[in-house]
Amino acid sequence: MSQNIWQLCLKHLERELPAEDISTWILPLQVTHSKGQTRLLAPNAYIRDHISTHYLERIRDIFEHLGEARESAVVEVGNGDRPTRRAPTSGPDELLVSSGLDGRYRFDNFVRGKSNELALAAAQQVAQKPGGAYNPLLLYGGTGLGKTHLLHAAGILILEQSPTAKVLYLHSERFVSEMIQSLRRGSIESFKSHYRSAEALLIDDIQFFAGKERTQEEFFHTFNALLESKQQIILTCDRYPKEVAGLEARLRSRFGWGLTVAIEPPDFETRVAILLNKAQERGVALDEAVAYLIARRMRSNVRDLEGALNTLIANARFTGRDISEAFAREVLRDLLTIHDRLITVENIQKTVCEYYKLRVAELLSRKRTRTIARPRQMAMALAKELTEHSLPEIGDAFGGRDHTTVLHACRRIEGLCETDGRIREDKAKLLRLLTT
Amino acid sequence: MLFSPQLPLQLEPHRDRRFEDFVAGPNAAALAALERVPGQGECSLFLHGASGTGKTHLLRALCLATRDAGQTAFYVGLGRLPDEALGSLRDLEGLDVICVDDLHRVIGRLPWEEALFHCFNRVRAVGGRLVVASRERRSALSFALPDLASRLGWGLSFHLAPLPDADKREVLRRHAELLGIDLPVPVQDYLLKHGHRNLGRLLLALERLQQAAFADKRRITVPLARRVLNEA
Repeated sequence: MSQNIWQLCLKHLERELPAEDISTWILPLQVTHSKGQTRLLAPNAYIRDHISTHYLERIRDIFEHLGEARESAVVEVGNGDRPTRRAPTSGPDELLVSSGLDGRYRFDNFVRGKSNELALAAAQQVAQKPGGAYNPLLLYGGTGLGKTHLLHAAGILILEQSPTAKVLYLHSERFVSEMIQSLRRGSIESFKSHYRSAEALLIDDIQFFAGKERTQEEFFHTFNALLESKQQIILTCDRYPKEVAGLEARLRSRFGWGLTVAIEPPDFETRVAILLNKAQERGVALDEAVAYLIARRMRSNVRDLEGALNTLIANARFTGRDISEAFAREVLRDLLTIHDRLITVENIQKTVCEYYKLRVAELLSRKRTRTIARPRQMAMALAKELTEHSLPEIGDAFGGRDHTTVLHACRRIEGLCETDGRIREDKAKLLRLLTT
Repeated sequence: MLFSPQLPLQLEPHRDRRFEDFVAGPNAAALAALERVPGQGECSLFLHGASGTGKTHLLRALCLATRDAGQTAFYVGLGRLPDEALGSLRDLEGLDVICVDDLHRVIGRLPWEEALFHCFNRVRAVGGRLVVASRERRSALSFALPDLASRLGWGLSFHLAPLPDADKREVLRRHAELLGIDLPVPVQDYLLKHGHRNLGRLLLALERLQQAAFADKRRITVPLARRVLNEA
């Protein structure tokens, strides 16, 4: 009976509640049965509380109706007997997993360039001789430049050299939340000894320690203990640590004891190399012209480059098209946009007028000469394509014209694009002007 | 920018939206990418498109498809959540697929951005899958936390374009079928020409049309459609 009770209860709920509520709140629950209890396991406390407040009473009513004890339905936080998810890794999996390391980030797939070669050399040296001269090693720089990659790569190399070493990688946020949990559970001593016994402690994004005094206090002591016994510390930060407001002075000064290295945004050549390398990793022969196009337009970070490349490859696979420069422009239209401009009907009118060397007043006038009417039709067609306004609204914005005029204009331009190469080119150019 | 309120798009009280209900039109690549999510490893996906282009539909459908594949999924609509609900983004990394809708509603609010950032990192660390939808494209959002912006740019990114009229007609026809009403072609024409270009609003107009026909015990005709649109 108990195995089926939840299925029966669910059927009742489905008849009573909107499908969206069922899908949002009820279906994510893991359900286990033991000792006459049906335990509804919520992924987190927020969902548990929501279920308790909104649905638990009703669930218990249904249980009662089905001949079960009301109290046999309980809701709590948990993951049931599902296996814990783990990152895809290669190599000595178990070691990497217990260290929190991600096997995808290695020194041999890190693309070196002028902007990052110092950081790369420092990370490699430290990994080869942990606890040596450069302790702590602190890598800083903007987001998406490869700090995390180097951190993992260093951890993996340390492990490969001495597989019994205790290497711990974690994001600062996890350090904070684990500390809070162990304070709550009264197990702070085991938290301390866990981290203080690491041969290499790698912490990502320490700027998130800012303003968290209790964490900084604990981290300060961990830091000292590790340094004293020559255990390696590698940290990353999104800016020069002295510039992080809310970070205690004694921590900031200690971070500077070892080696602090910046990673700069990659230069053009490195960006091209990154794109070509990543494409090769994915088994795609990327045309250099396409790599140049993306590298020219996306300057700030490596993650954006990867995202653009992934998007391009996926689109090519789904549509069965080759990755040409034109295809890249089309697919990455939004990603390559640097100057964001609002697309409004007014903006379209202005752009079209500039393009055809007209005044906006002429475009909106009653004049019907070809030199004015055609640009007007073009602007209307673009307004229909690029904005959400209804045809009557577009008509209004063009000097109070009827929606049928707009419709006619759209059809006319559509037809001309098929027969007249110049109009087609005009439209493509205007689209580019308006959307890039 | 058009900041129209989120409109309910309830197809039927007890029917959630699936991939096969989605009229893809120009958005076939986005649909194909989402359909693959349950069957693949770690990934992140960013969808952006105006209101009424089907973002919520696709995220909901992905949750259903994931569960059909015997995995777990969770949908978080940020637009509906009060500030105290930050906790809804915690500890989700045990789930197979996480769908975050209405990202644009919380961008610029640091606590939400931090919560999303940590959620992203934790999900990625365990090889989970995260799909995020926003009305604005990423470069047009004013992030308080550049780290989050950069994380969201990592995976695949798809723009959902509004449907051309032929596909909108298909959506209208399917929706009319679901509502169990007969929608003559001239009425379809009328709605497409005069109705709102936002698909969500257009479908709401269709539902009002159904109610009006029901109330007046009339068939659905162009004059009735005109009246309903004018009343709106």
